[in-house]
Amino acid sequence: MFVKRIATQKSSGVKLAFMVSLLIAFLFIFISCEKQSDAVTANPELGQVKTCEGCHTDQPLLAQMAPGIDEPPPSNGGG
Amino acid sequence: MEKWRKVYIGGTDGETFLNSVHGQLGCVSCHGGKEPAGTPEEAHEGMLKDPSSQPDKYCAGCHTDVVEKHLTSIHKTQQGYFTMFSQRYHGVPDGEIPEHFTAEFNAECGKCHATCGQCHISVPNSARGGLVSAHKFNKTPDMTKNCTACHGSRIGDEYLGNNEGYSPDAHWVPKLMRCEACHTGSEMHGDGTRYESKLKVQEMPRCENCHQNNTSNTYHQVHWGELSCNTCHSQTYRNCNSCHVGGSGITGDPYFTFKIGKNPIPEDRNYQWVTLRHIPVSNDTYGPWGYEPLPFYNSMPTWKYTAPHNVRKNAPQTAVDSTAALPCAGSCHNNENLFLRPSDIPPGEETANQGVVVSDDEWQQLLQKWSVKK
Repeated sequence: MFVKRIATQKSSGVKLAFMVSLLIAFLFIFISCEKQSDAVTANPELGQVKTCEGCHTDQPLLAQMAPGIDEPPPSNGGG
Repeated sequence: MEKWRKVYIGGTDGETFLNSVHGQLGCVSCHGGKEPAGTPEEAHEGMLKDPSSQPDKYCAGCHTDVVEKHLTSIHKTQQGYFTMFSQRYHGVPDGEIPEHFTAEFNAECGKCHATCGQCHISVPNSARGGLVSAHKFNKTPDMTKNCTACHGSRIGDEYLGNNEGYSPDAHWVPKLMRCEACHTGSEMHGDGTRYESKLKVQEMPRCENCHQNNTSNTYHQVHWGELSCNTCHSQTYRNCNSCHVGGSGITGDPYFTFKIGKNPIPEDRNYQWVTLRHIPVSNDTYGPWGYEPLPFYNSMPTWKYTAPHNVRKNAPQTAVDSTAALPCAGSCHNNENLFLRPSDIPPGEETANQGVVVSDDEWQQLLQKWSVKK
């Protein structure tokens, strides 16, 4: 009886350890993926080796890398 | 302009560029950097944004003659600033410029100097850059993205009629009479001579290049050669107060006025009377760099010869009443507001402008002259 209880407890401990490891692994993968999707450099296209033309002719990619409007300068320079 | 568009080489213009002689050279051959690369940082490492800032290395191989001349052109050297500084600092136009001044100038004011690329490929740095036509090399610079991007507040606004209440220049015909119609490439690139100021440049356009004296016009018969064309045909134009180095830039509000005065440069422009514009300078302009006061500040006028780019066939000065006993009285003659008089001179600038201002004695002589109908 005592021996059987020990064996059952041992089995539950292994199961628990396995479950915790699995959870940690899932969390790790989830966090890694989340971090990558936030970064501009995580763009799958940018993960590839590219030529200058490859990026500078790619409008959506450039728009993602350099978003926003650059304000025009005030017209007060020069003659 | 969207930020990404500033470096976009797509579309029709991009294709044209990529298939052109320049495009076929490959990006890294002019810009350096690394290709292919895995990240933008890697690709841009050691990259030269504007290769034409080193025209000897990157442009002269093919464009030898133009590069050689450009090196001494006003657009490259901005010699006018150094000449005016020398005159006000040393009392002569060609005195030695302190190295410290040159270094400060290049770091602050000199950022406006034009490289080949800032006229033919991109918007000038001083106007925040960006490709004009997806990196296509434009033989003729774009009028608004290149020329008036720098020469905008006076020349551009005058010419295009952007000043509220004033008409555009009579020559402004969109897509036809753009800057290059008068200002040719050879004027812009220079002729190899290091002129002391823009008004000395031989190829600078003159009205008389196209408009000869029409002897059937009474007013031209009377005034041709005596008055600059702008004296009769310009509208009111923008004038500046001052400018200070050290980050302040233009100081004081610009103002609109029209002033006729005595010609300060008869050796370059053979008129007696011309339009004058107050330029952005004062005795403490270079104070933050340690050049204050300027010992010879009074040796040249602060009201400078100008050719406002807002001419009209019929300007307020030409609105004569032919039925009156003295047809020109009021519109021009006797109209003291049109002339640079001592009361128009800011305090401290009286001596500097004594050569161009219409003194009380001279004004009385003019009134007497105008009182006789011709």
